[in-house]
Amino acid sequence: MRNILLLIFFYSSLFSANAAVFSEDSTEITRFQRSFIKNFYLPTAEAYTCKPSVISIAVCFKEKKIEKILYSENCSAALIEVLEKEHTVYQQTNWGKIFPAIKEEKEYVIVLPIVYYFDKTCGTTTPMNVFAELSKGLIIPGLKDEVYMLSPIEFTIRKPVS
Amino acid sequence: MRRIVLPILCAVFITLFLVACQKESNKEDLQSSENSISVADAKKFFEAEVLPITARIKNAVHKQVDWNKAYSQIAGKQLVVIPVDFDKPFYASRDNGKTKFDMRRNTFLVFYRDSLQKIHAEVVYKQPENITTAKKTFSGSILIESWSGELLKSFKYVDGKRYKGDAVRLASGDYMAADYGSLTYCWITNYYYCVYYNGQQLSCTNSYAIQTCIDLTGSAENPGGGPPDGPDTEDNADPEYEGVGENNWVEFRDITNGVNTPCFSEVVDSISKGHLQAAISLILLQTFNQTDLINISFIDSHYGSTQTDATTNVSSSNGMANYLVDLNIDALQNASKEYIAATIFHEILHAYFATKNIDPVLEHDEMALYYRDQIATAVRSLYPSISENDANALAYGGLQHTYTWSELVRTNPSAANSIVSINQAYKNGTSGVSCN
Repeated sequence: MRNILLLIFFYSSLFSANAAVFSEDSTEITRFQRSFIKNFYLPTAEAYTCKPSVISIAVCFKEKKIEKILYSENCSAALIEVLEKEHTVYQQTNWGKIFPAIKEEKEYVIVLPIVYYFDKTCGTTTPMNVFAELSKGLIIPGLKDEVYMLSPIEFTIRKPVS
Repeated sequence: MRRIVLPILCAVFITLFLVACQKESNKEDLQSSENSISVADAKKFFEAEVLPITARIKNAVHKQVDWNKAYSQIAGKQLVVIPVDFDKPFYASRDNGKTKFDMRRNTFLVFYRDSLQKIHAEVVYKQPENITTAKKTFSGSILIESWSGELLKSFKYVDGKRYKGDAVRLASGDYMAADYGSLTYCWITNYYYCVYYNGQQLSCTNSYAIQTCIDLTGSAENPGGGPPDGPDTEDNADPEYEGVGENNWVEFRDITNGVNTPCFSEVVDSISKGHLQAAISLILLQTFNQTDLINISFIDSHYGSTQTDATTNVSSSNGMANYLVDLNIDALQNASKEYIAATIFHEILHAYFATKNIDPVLEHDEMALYYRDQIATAVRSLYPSISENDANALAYGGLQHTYTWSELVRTNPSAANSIVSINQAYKNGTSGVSCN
């Protein structure tokens, strides 16, 4: 547990506090978000569960290059496989424009929370489930550098049809 | 001497007979090709006769065409059709810009020949108003312009009937007082150029407006029939503008083939490189307005069971939607290409229904009622050797819990059994083009 940084935020603070952290360039964050969203999908098996969740991704930069990408413990292998496709999106984003405090020559970490929940095709969701998943979704092993947190991207998922 | 003359006479007769036949044959060819026009003819005419006319109407929209997308279509007469694109997003609005209709994907450059063999080049702006998923008839308005922006014709379609209108171009902001007499229906359409950056609308400029008036109490034309002021002959008839572009090849802005199984991937490729676009263009007409924001991906994975052939998942965020068609390797590993294609078309319809917010519970019933023929046609266009009967049977795949299917079982159980058998044969690879 020594190298584990637990980032646990209360649900509401997660969604309100980050707006102040960034940004001087809303265009860059919009571009990043759209590129990220375009590559994202929830693996079929997980989409069938109708279980909303929060996950986090930590992209660790060293000398302007991605050193490693860490995922919260509740990310399944199938979901990580999908998220790995975002590698180019992280690399092509000008993080200095989004977080002016970033010194690119130094090591830094971008944390991106992702919230996904289901539409009415899944019936009523249970808020407690969301909250329970939230804390798991913000545990990212191995974070020790300067951390910059993005506002979460929210996805609405439709229950798969066959 | 007789020995020589006789063979010569025979040869002459045979030659004359052949020449006469040839002439007759050429005459038939000529007759069948009267009024026909090829893409090459249209392009030559466009470059020689249309493009040099530079006098543009003030504020006329800047249009562009890609001749690689030109195709032939029969809509009342033979046409060459090319989708028109604009230098900037271009919208029409009937309510001063509150709601805007995307004219991209709904504007076409059309070429056809009249009875005097003269080629006409017309820009067709289609504005559907009331599209149902069944989409049996066109309701809405159609405006016809020359390439340089002169108004040529306008039509209003109500319940399948066509009324000819009078259209007048207005300058931006210069709204003509419409004569709203009891017998006349007038409307003003404003056209907007919009500027987007990173997918977000920054501004829209009202470029110009067109006022159109029709007399709805007058007699309607037959769509595709002769013009009211001209002889009602087939040759002089207007094209069936309402059908223009309905078989157009349209593009998903982003189609990602992430399928790993080579044969599945090949089917996805052949679908996404044309046939899928041809087959579902009609179905997805309304989807085009949002095309920039809609992505569709195909993948395959092991479900661990063979119950489900494929699923369609939808993830949406910030106004963007990703549609994922996930093919089940376990279920489709022995399936023929025709079966895989029918499965994919079925899933694409689910994606379409999702864009329309149709209740998933009703999707299969909707599909069984209105879209089986579209799936069958799409499969046949992809694999022409499949019989119509088999294609229709494959189109029933996955629809066994629908009212339509129940009715078939009740009224014609042997036909239902046959459909099940055909599906099984294509699924286990004993019929159709094998994947293995």
